[in-house]
Amino acid sequence: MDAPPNASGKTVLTCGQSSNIVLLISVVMALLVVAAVIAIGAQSLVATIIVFALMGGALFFLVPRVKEVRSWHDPELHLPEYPLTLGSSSEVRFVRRPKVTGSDHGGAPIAARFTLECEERATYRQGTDTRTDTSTVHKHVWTANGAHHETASIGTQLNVPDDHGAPTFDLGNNEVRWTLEIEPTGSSFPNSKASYTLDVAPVWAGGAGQPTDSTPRDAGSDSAPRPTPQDGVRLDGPEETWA
Amino acid sequence: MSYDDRIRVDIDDDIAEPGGSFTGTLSRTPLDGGGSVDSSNLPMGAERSIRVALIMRTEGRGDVDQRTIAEVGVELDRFGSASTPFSLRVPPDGPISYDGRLIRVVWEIAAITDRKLAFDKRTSAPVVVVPRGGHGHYRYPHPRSS
Repeated sequence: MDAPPNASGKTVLTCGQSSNIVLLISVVMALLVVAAVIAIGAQSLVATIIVFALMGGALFFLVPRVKEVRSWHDPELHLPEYPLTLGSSSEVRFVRRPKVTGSDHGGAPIAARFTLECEERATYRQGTDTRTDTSTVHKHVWTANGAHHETASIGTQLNVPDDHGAPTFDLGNNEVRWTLEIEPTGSSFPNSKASYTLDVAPVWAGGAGQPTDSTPRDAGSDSAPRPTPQDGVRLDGPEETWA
Repeated sequence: MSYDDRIRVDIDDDIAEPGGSFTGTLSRTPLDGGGSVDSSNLPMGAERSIRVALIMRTEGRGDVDQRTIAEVGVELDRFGSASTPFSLRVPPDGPISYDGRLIRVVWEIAAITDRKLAFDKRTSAPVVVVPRGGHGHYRYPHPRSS
């Protein structure tokens, strides 16, 4: 995924769907061709039938994807400001452009379900295993409507809360990740999901929503109020540790 | 002669934003009687130098990620004393202090004393890194505010 600002100063995120689909198709077809060769070589009628049935199923699933890749550019997400900031509210637009121009759908109604999610990912070693625990600390699902002319376009308000989740970070074992998933619906354009990993900067936008103290915490127990030093913090002897 | 309880770190403000700095003064009172120290003949455990470090680490479910973000070293004079201002810069991209469900990001300023033939002695105090523009609004690790 890349985020080049375009001529109007907006940032456009694309989710690389075409390359993913082409890779998926290549891998699936290669595996099935190998399986077909083995089955025919083994002179097993049952295995051959099963492999060709699988090939048929794969084609049934893949042909619409191929048609989509041939007809449509990757889904785009247009953002007026990027990276996003805590407490910000911005008008974003989900856009799908046809590869062949000249067909206007007359503003046919389309819609999409948007899911904004902030997830904590904690990775730890347990014996020889490496495990990753995840916790969704913010999830907001909403629907927005748009119109399909030559380009299918759905605009909506994207609100990043300042009282849940955290700015994006990845420290190696501990990570906070924001994603926006978009599931479009409409008969005149493809309904495949698009997923974007969003970058939320450690910047407070001024609080579209007032922070609250409602977020559950079980990372530890030490959340006692901190002192508020007016004239300096003294740091000396008693709490020493040995390094 | 005690070499403990002589170090003092005064932090001007225990809240800073990414791209900002924690400033303060590190001081160490001189030895009793004001006598000079023969640096070539220090007793075992004597303090030789002090570092002030800005440290970020995680707590919670995941394995600990810890980084020393900035560090200032101070040599003791021949009387065993020191007094110097310091400024420790917070990276512009954070992370900020965070108190989440699985993860907590903790920032602290530590005074680490290098001692002759002994373990370093370390004293630390928590500080808070708040989102840029959030100074005055945040006093606790995100997402809690004032």
